[in-house]
Amino acid sequence: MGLFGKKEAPAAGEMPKTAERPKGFREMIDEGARRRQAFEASADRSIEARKAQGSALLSGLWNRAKGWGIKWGGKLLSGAKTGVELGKTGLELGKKGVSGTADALFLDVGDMGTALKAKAGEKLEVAGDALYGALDSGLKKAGAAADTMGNVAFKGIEMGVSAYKNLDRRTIDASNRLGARVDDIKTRATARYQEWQDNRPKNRIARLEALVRQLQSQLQDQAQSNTAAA
Amino acid sequence: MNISSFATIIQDSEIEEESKQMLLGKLNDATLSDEQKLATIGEFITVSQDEISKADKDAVGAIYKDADLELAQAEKEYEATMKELADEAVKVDQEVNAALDSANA
Repeated sequence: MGLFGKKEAPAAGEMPKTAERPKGFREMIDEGARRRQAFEASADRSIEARKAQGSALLSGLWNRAKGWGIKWGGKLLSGAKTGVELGKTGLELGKKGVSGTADALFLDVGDMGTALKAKAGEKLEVAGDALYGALDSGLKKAGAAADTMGNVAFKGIEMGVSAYKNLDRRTIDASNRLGARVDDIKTRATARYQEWQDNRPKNRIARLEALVRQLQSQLQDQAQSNTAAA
Repeated sequence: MNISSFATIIQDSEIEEESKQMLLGKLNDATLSDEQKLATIGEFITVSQDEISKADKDAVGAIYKDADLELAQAEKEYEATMKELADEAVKVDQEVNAALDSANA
């Protein structure tokens, strides 16, 4: 298939058709844009998911801390220095983070490993502020972990978006370069064709063509005259 | 049939002298009938039309052949660039996925 969509060159006097860009040219650009948009949408969802994940983690820790605070006199998070007295029997101070009974109460604050321990019957002389500080430390660690997690994810996503934008731009650049090149090829081919057409009347073929035309005309005239005479 | 009018047309034409003399020789040949002379003209027209058609086709075909070669080269280079970009896109996918996996770990 030729540049102008024809296997054969056009006949003399017939102008070439407009050059077409290669098949799939526009589709490739559209595919690049679609891919980038899909990725950005996916990235946005990913960022939101991680924000929600971090938020849920922090929220869970605060809720647990509040739960403990209420169980232990509601002073835990208020900053009061009131101590907490544990009973002799087992205590249920939360569904998670508490192990053992009054024999050995183990309170694990958050998921960060901060722990306070008390033996059965002991008066837990830990001031509210200290307990709060332990919880706060755990929360900060959890928050930092969530931030780190979010930052790593965000950086990864940013890197991806940036890389895709770069790829997208280069794809369009390459496509535009090809388009310009095709246009240039078309322009030069058309100019050559026009030059050939302009010069044709001066060449031997054109003179031969003129004679053939005159002879054909004369044959036709004479045939008509003979028919009329008959 | 007025053969002399054909001779005049040929005489006044701008074709090569050799062809001109060949045709005029036939038209002036007293041994040939008018029908034979007309047949000569008819044959000359047919052969000339084929020659004109081939010459035009060759000339224009050469122009398009060059353009087609250039286009094929441009497309080849474009495809190579597209493949390079596609390979890069796969690497980006892998890097992003690795970063997200790392964040989730």
